[in-house]
Amino acid sequence: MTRRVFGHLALLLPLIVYAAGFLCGALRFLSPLPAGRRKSRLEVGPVSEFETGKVERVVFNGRSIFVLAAEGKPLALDAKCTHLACNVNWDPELDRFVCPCHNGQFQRDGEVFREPPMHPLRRQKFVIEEGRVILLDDPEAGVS
Amino acid sequence: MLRRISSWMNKHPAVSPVRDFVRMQASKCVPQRLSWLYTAGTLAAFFFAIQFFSGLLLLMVYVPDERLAFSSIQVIEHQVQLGWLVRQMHAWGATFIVLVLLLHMLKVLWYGSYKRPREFTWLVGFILLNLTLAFCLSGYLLPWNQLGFWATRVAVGAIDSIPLLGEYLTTWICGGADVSGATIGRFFALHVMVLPLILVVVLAAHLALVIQLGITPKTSVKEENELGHQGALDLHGSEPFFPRQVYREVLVLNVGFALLVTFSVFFPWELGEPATLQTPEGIKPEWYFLPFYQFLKYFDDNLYTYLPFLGSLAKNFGLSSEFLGVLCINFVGFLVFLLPFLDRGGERRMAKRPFFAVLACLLIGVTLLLGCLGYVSGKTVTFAGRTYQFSSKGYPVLGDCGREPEAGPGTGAQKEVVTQEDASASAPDVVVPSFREDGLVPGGTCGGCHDHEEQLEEWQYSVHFQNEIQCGDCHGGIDTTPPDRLPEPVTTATYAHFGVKQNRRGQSVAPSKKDVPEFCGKCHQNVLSVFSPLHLKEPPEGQRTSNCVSCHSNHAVAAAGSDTYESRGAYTKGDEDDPRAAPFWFAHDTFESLADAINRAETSLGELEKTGYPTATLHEELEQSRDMLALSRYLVHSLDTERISRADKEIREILEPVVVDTQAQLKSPDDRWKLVVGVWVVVLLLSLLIVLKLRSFPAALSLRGVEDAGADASGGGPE
Repeated sequence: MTRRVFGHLALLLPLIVYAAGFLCGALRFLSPLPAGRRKSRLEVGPVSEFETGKVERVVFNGRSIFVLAAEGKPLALDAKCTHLACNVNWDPELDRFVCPCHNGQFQRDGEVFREPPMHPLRRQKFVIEEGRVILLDDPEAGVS
Repeated sequence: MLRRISSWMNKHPAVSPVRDFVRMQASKCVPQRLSWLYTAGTLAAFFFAIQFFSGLLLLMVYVPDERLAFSSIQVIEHQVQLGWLVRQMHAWGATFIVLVLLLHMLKVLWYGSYKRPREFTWLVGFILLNLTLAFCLSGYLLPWNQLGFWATRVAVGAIDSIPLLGEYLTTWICGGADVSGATIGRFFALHVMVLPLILVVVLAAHLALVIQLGITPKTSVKEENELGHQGALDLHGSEPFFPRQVYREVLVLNVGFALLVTFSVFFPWELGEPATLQTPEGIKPEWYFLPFYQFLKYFDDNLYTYLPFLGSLAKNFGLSSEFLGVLCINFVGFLVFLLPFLDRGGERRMAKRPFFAVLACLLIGVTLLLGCLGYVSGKTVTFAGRTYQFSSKGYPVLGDCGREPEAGPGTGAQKEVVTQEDASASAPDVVVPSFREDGLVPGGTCGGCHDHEEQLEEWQYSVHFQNEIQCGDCHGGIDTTPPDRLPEPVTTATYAHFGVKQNRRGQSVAPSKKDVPEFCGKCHQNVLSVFSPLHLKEPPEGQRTSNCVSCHSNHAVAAAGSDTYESRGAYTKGDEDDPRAAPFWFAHDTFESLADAINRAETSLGELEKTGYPTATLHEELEQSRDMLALSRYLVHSLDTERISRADKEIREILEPVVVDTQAQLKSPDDRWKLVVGVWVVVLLLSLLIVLKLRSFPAALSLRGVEDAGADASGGGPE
């Protein structure tokens, strides 16, 4: 090793070590906080109410969920539009879900009624216990 | 490839001026054998850089809101990865900067570097020091803890003491009459935007002046004037800034950084309690404000007794004693600020400036003394086997002040001792009022005609009595709200006995055993809704029929809970003949196990809270599980094990994560010391490289020598 290289090393190494240390520290600092605790279930209401036409919007583990009935059967749908991830709203006059961003529309059962969305609304897991609709956690569903 | 990039960059018109400037600065001469104190300026700049980066990271999590500031700092400290280190480095960094700047200032005073032509460098440097103190003060409030809140309040109080303008200035600074939520926003803006912008400008001006005027030579002002800067440097020997001084500065930065990490890890700044309006005992400012804090204490009426002219001055001009103190501090500060214009002598060596040396030593000595007195004031200190108690003004008092009085026979101390057992033994279990608040005798109007002494006595020890439930609330009668129309004919009896259960002959009667659940269920609807008819079924031979009073008693109504289970439970545990026993004791064991689990979780959470970990969410969840348990206990009346199991599962689903999180945090290993070891290993290795390089330089480096050592060393032998 020449004097010149050694000299440069003595000056550059601290610079590199500090830069790398600060960068690694900053990246660790900026890593996301542990996610909040997820609820395993959420009771929404008696199934009979939905069968008579009620549409309920609830927030479950950070997601907006619609609970309603289509053709007499209870159904839970994720409000996240399958086009560009806006949350759809329920329009009782049209009897359809309408996306406020690009006017995409979905039928009561979540199927696409009007494009641009190409795919139906995502279905949310639920069970009926003692006549009540209970939403179940779905960790893969993400946040809407 | 690297050579080509390097060549391209060197020739690029945007890079070459920068390179030339750096080379020119590196080749500028400094006096030979410079003191290590000359590295303090660079070290301060390095710490400013650390403050900037750590502050930037803290900004991403911190919330400048009085309700969220403290908890956001807790999150940084305990939940963000390396958040504790970043916060501690930021907090300790402030102290290190002040310390290094003071050292830098002492160096300037010692070497007379503030003298012509560097007067403006001193002025700008002094502003820089005050800016740093403003940084410290504004940053101190941001965690919204007790220390920061009250330190800011005291500082604002000093501003408030300014005659005429004080109130206006306080309102303007605090965003109100006092330090409040509005202040935090203002101080935050000041700390992260206003002060940094001013600092950049002032720091740039300071560096520009240093570059322009060069390092002070070891000559007198006159010699520098006559010979010029370079000539003055050459007079006592000079060498280029690069490489020796650069390497020395890098070495000091390494050690400074390692010390900062060490202090951050081993002496962490406690966050303390969130700000409240109750001033904590013994609160004091940071060490760098201690001299001012102590100095202001002496400005009171006692001072006017010794210095009457000050008293008359204050009286004539309507000045408060606090303002006089603030005025004195600012006056001394102003004199120090104007030092280059006050000390105009041409000599720089301290030995030839005896008057200045005495004055400076006096000022530094008094400042240190005030700082020490501020530190010990109000404390009890044991020194050389003797205990001294220092008054608020720092006057020591020798004696037994700090000792506990020895308890001997017949001493006053012993007489006053009352043990807790004695106190609890003498206290009555239940305080029974002799009259109701509404002036009626116990039992309401019923007590006026009915003489049920036994029932009344029982009732006075019941949960109903504790909750102000009267006879009429259960039995009906005058105390209940009468209806719009009473049954005809309206007599005193029909009015007084309205709603009271009566037999066919119109006589008031107690409810039958069968009717009891419905009787109690008038109020306890939730119990009635799940009440199992199994309770009322014909019991096995030799056992009682059970209804509400079997467990909860009649007029001495017992509260729900484990006490009722244990002492009054109507079912025998393990009785296989009684179909009610198994589900009853299943409910008992389930709920008691849950109650135990919640209490254990609360104890663990208390321990975790002591570490400063943010436990608000965990507490909320624990309280939720406790409330759910309280609301679920009534299910025991259902004797429905499936239902009780479901309630148990729901409660445990909330409780278990709280227990898991609490235990995980309590058991997390404290391996922060490894970080310190790692940093010191790296720093020592880097320092070793630098020391080896420093040793390779000749004692006296000329510019030519540097070029030989640095630029043209490729032909040299291996090191």
